[in-house]
Amino acid sequence: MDKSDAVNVQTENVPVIDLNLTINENPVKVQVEPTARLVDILRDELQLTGTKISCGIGRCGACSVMIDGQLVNACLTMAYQADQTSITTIEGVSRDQEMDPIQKAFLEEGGFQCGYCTPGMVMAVKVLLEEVPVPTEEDIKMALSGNLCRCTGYGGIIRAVQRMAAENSEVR
Amino acid sequence: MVNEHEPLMSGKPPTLPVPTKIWRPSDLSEAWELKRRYGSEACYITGGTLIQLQREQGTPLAEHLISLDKINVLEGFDQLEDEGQFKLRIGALTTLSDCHRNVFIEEYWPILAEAIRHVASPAVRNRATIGGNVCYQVGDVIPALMVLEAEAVSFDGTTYLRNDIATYIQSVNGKDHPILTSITLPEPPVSAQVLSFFKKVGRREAFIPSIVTVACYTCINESGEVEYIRLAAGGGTASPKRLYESERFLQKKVLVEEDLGRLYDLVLQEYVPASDPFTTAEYRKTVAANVIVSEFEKLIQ
Repeated sequence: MDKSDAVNVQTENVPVIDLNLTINENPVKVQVEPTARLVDILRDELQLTGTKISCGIGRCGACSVMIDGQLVNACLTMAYQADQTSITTIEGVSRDQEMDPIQKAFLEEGGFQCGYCTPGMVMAVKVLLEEVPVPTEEDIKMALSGNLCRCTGYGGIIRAVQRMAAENSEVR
Repeated sequence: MVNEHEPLMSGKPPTLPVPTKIWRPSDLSEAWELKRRYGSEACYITGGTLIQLQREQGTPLAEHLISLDKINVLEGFDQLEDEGQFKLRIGALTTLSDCHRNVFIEEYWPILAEAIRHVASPAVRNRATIGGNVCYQVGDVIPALMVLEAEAVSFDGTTYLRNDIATYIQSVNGKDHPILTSITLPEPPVSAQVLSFFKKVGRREAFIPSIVTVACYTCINESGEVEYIRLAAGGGTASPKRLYESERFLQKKVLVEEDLGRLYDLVLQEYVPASDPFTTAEYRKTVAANVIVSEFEKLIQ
């Protein structure tokens, strides 16, 4: 064995690793190929199908999740890169069967139509509001620049975020 | 080279012909040795955003991926002082997001911050590294680094090399190219007036491959004369280049309206972009010339 921390466990010529994750505050261990995409692990191995897959190259944002508090594309993240991290998916956003206020705002402001992009949008907005509780329209557009919606024209989505910003502003 | 205009493929990646092994060396010498051992079957990886994009477009992963993410010396920022000059060392593994948030970059090198803001999306910038953008050879931050006279520090297995960005980018094509370890930004010159800008033109406002990128850093003295100028252009699949002829033309000039036509012609002459199915080289030249001239026109006005 080389002194490198090589991921090189051979099983019938297919290398696998023990991937240790915390997903939505629950510890999870799965055996996967080190180059498997995180989005496939979430959806196929763990049945967390709220995270969507579309472009596969980080262009659409449908697979957005939080890794250690940062927004990332699960399609661009390989298994070995996610080892020992804490991941939040759309399933971890709601609490006690209650929707997150961001989800409510999307619902009430018409922030989705087909809904396919919505989990990724909600994750991106969650990260934005944690960093900038009262974002400007420019902040919102920048934060959502990696999340594509082909239905709404973004009007309802931006309104939803502005509603959250207004509520946060009142609280402050 | 990535063709940004290949049809997008969805679903799972293609079946891999050979299982890929991931190596995570803890120091540069070890990484270098692994690359030498496996040669063309090995590839360095940091954030991996480009490699994943290429994989989805049909390029199989290398048989051996040498991840540099455990090499701690490649991360973060160091403030340096060199003969009274302030410099910032950026580790090659530093993410574009961390660069964008850095207060020194914001204050001293704002055109780099502006260039980074135009790379992909926040989620991609959280994984993509500044070293990866440079090693991509056509990354959008490269023109900004060129005009800021950034230095690329790399490791060739025994020693650390110091080169300008353009020289390092050329070396990336070589068989045993040195590992980029850091980028050093020197404090930019100051003057009575500074004109600096970074402009990216794409097919939409955000998150789009560039058609043209232009960066400029110009110092103008109290007499209105250009006393220092660095100008670079990139975009598409051609590596960014400094526009030396245009720089020479502008140097020592007090710019007047009539100079702009000559500047326009010079940019058309020396900027050599590539054509692709969406954008001709001629179009890119015209866009670059228009962008540069319009910025200098503001200066005259």
